[in-house]
Amino acid sequence: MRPLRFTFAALLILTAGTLVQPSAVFDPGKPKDLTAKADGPHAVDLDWKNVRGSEGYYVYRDGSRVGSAENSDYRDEGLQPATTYVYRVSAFDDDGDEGDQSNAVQVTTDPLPGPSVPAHLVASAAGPYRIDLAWSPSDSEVGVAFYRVLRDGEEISTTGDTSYSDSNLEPETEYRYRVSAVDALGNESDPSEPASATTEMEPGPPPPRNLSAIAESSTQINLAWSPPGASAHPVQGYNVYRDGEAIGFVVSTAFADAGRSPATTYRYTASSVDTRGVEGELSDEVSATTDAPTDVIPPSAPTGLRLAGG
Amino acid sequence: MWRERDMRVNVPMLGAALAFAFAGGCTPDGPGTGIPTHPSDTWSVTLEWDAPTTDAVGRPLDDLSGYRLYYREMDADAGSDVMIELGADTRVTVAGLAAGDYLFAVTALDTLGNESDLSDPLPVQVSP
Repeated sequence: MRPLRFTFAALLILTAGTLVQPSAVFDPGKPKDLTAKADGPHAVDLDWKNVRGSEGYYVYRDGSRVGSAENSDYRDEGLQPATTYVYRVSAFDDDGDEGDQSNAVQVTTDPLPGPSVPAHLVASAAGPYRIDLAWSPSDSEVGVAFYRVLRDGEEISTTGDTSYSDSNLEPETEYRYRVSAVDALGNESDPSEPASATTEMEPGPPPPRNLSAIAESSTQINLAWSPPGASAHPVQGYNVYRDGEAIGFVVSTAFADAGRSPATTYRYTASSVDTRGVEGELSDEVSATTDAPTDVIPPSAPTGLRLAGG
Repeated sequence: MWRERDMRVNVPMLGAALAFAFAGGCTPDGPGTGIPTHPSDTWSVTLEWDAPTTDAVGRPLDDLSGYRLYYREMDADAGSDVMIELGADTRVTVAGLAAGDYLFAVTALDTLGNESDLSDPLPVQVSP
């Protein structure tokens, strides 16, 4: 190029006074005002001022020609994220002569975006001690490494799945969850919208077994039963029901229902109550009929009391 | 057991009862057959009555178990009643009575121990 310019100067001198077509004779000018702007992690957009008389432009990245442009802009693609590049451009004319390179501009591509926020988080109680979570997978160019599960603001676990079961919870308690995604590069998304669920009530103890009802008299029925089998909490007593109505709570395994009507059938059930005061299911129903009424009516008085005739 | 009302009601009948007694209701205690062979200190009275056939509310009586006899001297306190448990017989002889005026009455009992009201009392004069 220097030689060309030298030739131009020589020609100017030698042909003084002669009209010469500059495009045919002079190299293209130097492009001015080159700007570069990263467009995402993989592309850079270049722009510069048009050079009059140019046929096109060459684009240089870090000193190497990477492409050419017809007009005064260029989009360089296939770049590495978060990487700094230096660009220059030059103009060339229809003779293929190339002018000086422009100013250098430095540009850094954007970093790769983190994973998207997990969406559609759903929390649902699965019994008294567990809540199940599920969500939609996050988008990530480099892949999601794992999800971070937060309960009431505290991380409780990480998982590669899009679901999680949180167990060993307290019954009848509300918990609030969020989930974030972490990609293979360690980038973490914002936490998802929260989802809440309340664990279910703990079941009561099993019902008492072998409930029996036996008429003791015309006015009393005696009930007896056996304690239930194993339950989560110890049984502290029993509720007794007559014809569907609660008639007493006892800590023993027997109950005397007095004050009944004679010759009447009564139906009974019983339930266990544990030490938390939680009542379990009712037992099977049993019934008994009080005895016939006791005779409390005396005979009529004797009549005709007299001295025996001799 | 005696109620004053019963006594008042029956006192006017005493005369008839005394006549009945003389007709043969009283017999002297001791050996012999009806007529004392020697003076005796005590006498016997034989009473009879009709069994009730219904209970106090008119239902047929099917569990009669026996009777109680009550008596006392007519001028004695109500608290001095003598009570004798009897079986199902409607006839009884009370022995060992000193001479005097007595009132007798009976009640009926069922198998559950329910006791009837007193019968109408019977005044009896026990004397030689």
